[in-house]
Amino acid sequence: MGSIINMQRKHAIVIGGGIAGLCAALELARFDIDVDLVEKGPALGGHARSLTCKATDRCVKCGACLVEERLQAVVENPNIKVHLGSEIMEVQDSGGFSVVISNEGKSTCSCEADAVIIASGFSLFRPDGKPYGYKRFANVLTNLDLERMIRMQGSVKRPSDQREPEKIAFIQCVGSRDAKTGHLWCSRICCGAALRMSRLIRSRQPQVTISVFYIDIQSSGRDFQFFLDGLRNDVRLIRAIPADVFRTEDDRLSMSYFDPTSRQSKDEIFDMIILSVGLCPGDDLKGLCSLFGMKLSDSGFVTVSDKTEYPEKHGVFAAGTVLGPMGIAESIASAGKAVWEAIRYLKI
Amino acid sequence: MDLQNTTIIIGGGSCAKKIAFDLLEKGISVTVVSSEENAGLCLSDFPKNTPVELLTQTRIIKCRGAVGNFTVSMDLNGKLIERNISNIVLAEEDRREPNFGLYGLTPSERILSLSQVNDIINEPQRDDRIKSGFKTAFFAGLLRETDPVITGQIMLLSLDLQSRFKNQVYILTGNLKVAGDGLEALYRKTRDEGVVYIKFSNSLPSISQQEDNRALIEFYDEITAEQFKFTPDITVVDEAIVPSEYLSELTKVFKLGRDMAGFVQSDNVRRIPVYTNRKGILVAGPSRTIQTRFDHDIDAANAGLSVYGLLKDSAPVPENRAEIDRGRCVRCLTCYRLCPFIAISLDAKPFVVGEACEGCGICAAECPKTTITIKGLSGPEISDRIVRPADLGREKVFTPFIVAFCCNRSASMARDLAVNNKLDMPKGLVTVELPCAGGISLDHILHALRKGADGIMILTCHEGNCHSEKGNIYARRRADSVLDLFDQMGLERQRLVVKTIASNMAMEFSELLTKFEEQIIVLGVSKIAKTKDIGDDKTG
Repeated sequence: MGSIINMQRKHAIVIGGGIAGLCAALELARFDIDVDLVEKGPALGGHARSLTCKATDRCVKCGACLVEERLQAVVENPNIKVHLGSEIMEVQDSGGFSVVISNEGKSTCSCEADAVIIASGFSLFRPDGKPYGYKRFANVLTNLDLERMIRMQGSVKRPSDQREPEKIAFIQCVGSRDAKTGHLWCSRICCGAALRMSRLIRSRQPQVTISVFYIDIQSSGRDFQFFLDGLRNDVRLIRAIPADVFRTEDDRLSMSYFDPTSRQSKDEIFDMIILSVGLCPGDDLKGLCSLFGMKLSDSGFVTVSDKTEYPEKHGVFAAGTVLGPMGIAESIASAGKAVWEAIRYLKI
Repeated sequence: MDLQNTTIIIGGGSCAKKIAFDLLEKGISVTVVSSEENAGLCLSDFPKNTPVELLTQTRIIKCRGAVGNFTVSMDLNGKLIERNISNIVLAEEDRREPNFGLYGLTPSERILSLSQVNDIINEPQRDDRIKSGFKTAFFAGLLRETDPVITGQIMLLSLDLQSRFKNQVYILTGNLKVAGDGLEALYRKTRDEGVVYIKFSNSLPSISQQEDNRALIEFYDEITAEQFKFTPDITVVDEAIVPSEYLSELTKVFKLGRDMAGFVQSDNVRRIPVYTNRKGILVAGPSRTIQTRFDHDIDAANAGLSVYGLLKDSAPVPENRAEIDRGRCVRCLTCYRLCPFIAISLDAKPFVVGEACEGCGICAAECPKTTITIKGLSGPEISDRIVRPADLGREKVFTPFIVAFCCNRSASMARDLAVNNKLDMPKGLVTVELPCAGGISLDHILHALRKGADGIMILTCHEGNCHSEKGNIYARRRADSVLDLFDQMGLERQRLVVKTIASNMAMEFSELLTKFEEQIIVLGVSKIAKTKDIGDDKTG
């Protein structure tokens, strides 16, 4: 089947070194396409790399472990050139793409590409504007802050005094399913992440009690019913959107919410509060897409007309969370689709 | 038709069709096999003059061989046919199971399934059971969690009923599953159109069927705190999306892993996105899991990409594959039973199909006659890799010699990360990397003891995360059996520990090993290391 390989080598640019970008680069390289992988941050791996494994001996299929293997493979792959601290400055489209890449604003390099895959990821919702005390109270964290904490130190401790908390609350849908912020989407991954995380914490620090405040619990993974049934004894699930959070005199957190069972407004004290912040369009996505002449949907993510026919623009493909909130497994699949479309486009 | 490059695509729906189209575009010949008579596709659907074969009313009954060279036997309406093919894609359609029984209801003209309502709405002139002005209630994951596919369909149908059929629609739900494309926006649109949502979190409605066949729903409304009685004109029960019975037959024919619901592909992140435990057999869309049509297309693309990649890869079989010394083999078939990749074939005696073997070493470690070898995993080769660091003290300050057997897919990567991050590590640590913890044999562990290891740690992937499915479980079982030997040798059991770890957990790696070192320091020098004395030290 050697005849299916084109004589002339093709060249592609992948923008973004998160899980979708890593997978896209690897798949392209497998077909002998030369890849320039452009990552604006100082390291590869994206958001997914800061996540912790949530297994309690048994794997809970969060997919966080899948990043490391792919990252090593990218670094070792001779067909992939990695540009760290780099951004796309200019694009000229004349059949192929002439792209100028800036390295930390210091130097520039230009490269020619036959196809481009945009996999620049998402931005986390900034909860500073919500009345939950983020950045004002040390013990209010985002779910990503908590992931990092557990990955780095193995257990949960209150940032203010390094003591182990007794009561933790998760607030779901902070900046998701939220008409006030115009975010009319579910971020998809936070329910599963919060529930898995709760189980992990309970298995390591059984004295901790955990309450999860939710609108609707979203399914995650195969056989979610079984997972949820197994969790009910471990975690208190409360259907409420908390109103606000204050710090008490003894440095704990008082949260008020409408308790659906007693049907009364209630103030409850917690030691830590974790905000499950939503996935939003990347800060640089708009600029990036306008460089390539692509449109964004009203929500701010990349539109693909009916999600079956790439591309909006010939030679430009999108992968991962630029298309909307998704988890690691979905991002990997999304990268596969983008590469397949690119390969068909390039007639390789 | 170039038969050697043919791919069989099993299924008669849109996902199978999409894969076939994509592969044909790439010049790959395809045989589409559907068990149904009217598969929803016919030969004239495919582009002219392309190498496509369509077999309907055809069921796969047997499969031999391995990637690049499968022989598939089929029953074409009573006639036995065979094809030689390179790759196989399963894209068989799923099935809907209406939840009448779950809610204690019997189907009637007043109690319909979601699919029935879908059919009625699409052809209202043929079926007028849903009349203008009706009150219609949908159950959406009321007693059992549902999924965004069903929820999305319910919301779309309720929009239509509300606007076109002038119905008042009520959706009774537990957790509304909006984690799908555009579903939150759709949810808001339905509410704007007047659809009423009744959510249950701490209570459930009581549901019964009246004599007029309507459902009687009594519930406590959590928002108004009032008790309601409600008899909708039409009650629509949701459906469970399940694999077809034929799909379960196929998983047996092809010896594929399944998830708890029976979909193909074990619940293992190593199989993401469309891989199975067998190289050259892929699974997409409705055969893999519950998905929307959009997701089917993503799967179809990944299946196309994987098949194309497999055909393009012309790399020779790597050296580190299992080999059976057939002269010494006693045909106990342990290897045949245990190989997760179905790489062991049988004629007079078992033999390894190199193309399918992934070199995990499970067969070699489990073979009771030790007739299987894999380059790099033999006792002497492993022994050579266990070299006691030269400057370890034993007399004044005891620094234990620790051997950690690490799975390459998890522990080795965590170790690399820990080293890069300069985390604490026992001074006397030697790591031995293997393709899978399942390949760690009794022999390997004894070699570590002979080399004077004071402590041995086996680090595997977490359960359910093993690329070889159960390699980690075999490793643990083997370690348990070695512990009995420890008792006989008078060695403390704490000197051999099995732990699970993920590739990204550098800190955990460091903690596990440093704690283990502390434990070994308390135990002191291993009895075997003492009796062997410093022999090893002198020679190497």
